Amino acid sequence: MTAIKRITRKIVESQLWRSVFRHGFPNTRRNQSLAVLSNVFLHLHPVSVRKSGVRLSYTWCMGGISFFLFLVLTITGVMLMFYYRPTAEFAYNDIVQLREDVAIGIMRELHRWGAHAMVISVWLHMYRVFLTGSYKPPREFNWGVGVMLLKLTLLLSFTGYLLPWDQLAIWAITVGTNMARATPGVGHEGPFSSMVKIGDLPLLHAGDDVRFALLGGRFVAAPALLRFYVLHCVAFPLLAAALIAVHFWRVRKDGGISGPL
Amino acid sequence: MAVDTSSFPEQVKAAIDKGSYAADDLIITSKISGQKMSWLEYHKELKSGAAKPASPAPAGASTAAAPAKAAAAAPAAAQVPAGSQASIPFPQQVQDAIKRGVYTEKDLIITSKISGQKMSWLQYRSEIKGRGAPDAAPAGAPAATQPAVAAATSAATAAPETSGRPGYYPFVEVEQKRVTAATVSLQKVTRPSGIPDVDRRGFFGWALMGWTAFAAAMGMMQVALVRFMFPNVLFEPPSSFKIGFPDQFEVGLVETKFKSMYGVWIIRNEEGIYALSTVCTHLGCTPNWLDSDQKFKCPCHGSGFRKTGINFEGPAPRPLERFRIVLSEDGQILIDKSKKYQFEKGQWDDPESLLSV
Repeated sequence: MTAIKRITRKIVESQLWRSVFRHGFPNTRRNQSLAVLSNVFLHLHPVSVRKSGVRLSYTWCMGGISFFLFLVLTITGVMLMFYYRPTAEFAYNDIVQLREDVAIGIMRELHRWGAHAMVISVWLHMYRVFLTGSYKPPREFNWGVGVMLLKLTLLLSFTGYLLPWDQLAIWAITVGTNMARATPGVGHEGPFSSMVKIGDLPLLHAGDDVRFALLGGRFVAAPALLRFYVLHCVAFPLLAAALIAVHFWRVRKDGGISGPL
Repeated sequence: MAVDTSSFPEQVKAAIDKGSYAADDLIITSKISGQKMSWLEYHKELKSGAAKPASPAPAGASTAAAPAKAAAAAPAAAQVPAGSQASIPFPQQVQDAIKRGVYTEKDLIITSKISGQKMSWLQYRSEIKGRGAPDAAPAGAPAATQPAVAAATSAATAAPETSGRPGYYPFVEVEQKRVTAATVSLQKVTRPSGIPDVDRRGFFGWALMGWTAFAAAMGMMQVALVRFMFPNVLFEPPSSFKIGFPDQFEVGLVETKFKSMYGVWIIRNEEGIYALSTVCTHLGCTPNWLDSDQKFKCPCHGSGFRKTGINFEGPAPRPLERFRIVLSEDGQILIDKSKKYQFEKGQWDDPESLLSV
């Protein structure tokens, strides 16, 4: 028995190792299954997948790439939060500082390009799911979860767009949120908004409709920056993480990844 | 028949003396089971079956008019069923089980034949003890005759009463005084002591009330969360403001100094002064005034507007909006952005959309 083998054996038989890993080396089918089943992260994944599930020409790996980009964006986003201050006074200068003065100046570019890539990969993922008919029963619920994840991806992209606080950001969000004026029932220029009134007094106006709630004001200003920051960094990522867990779990429960049932 | 009213509440006694109520108006309520019964019937049964009732209605009786003030005459009658003894015909299997130590007193629960309610034997016995008159012990009835038919206790806890005479309890039919095996329930009491006994109906009542309160609280929290998004104070420029006197504005010029603060251009022509909105009617960007081209040009998508506000190029679908413009009392021009005038609706004919000077 060589020294390496002896040391290895000493490690894997120690109480510390065995308290973490309840199974032996995954070199048997049983231990391979246990490695997946006894791990809180891996157990969302099926123990085995069908051949078509790992064929790149079939899956395009777009779901996996989307998840990978979500992780990249989470990590780089947290890094950016160490420098960025979401106030009208500092926001733009902090973005410039992130590019010019902070070490690893591409951190913000990674976040930005990763975000663009994620929007594209999510779209392609849905396109692939549509082409392979993977939205059909029993997977129709998971398609619904996927649509919600698509919306969250777009909302994350939209809210992140304001944070540089330059002219492009401000006017893009001005244009984008103007669409919220036309939301039926809750936007002050939308359908049915004229019906929400007491006598001649309109209850829905620029100061209390859904766009106002989104911006924290009647136009894009400092309150909007803070609100978009909170939505971008806390609310939407948490929602997306929860839905991603549901999404993966249902992939497994609904018969495994794609492919003919 | 004469009613012994000695133990009745004062108001009941007075009512009977006055003749407002007769004996057959009286209704008693058991404090154990809550069951109601005519006092007459109760009295009759006592006479026929009870060994030696200490008092017909020791805890007082109530009238039909006041049934809530219940008497608990029944159990007090003569029973001190303090325990079991050899003569009590408990099922052999129960006694054997206790002797073998399979069960102790704490494990026994009894079931009322009247209400079906279950109760720990220990609790039942202590209640009966507390209620009954110890003096009447010789006449004590076996526990077996109680409404809640009991399982046996261990020999060690057997009560000193040894009377073998049949007991009496008015809420139990006479022929059912004896315990049969079918009425004994041998079940472990799993409910921790100290938790109030709630029956099924009561439980659902409380549960419904609890969930309703919870749902109401959640609803109110939702309202609060939505309301939280609407601040009470806005740090935005006022929508109504004064910009100076009319003679400060030259004919033919576009005044741009109020653009960044208030979002208006002030323009004076031969007819008067008007206030144009700086919001592009395409998607809401802010155009710029190009003096050399004499037009407003939006940098976002290229919409162009004449000095009047009429659109003539780019994607903008309609002219710029005008705001209400009037002279205030001090002679200054007052702009009110809360009231807007749209050309395509014919509102530029309104006298307040153009300040004639």
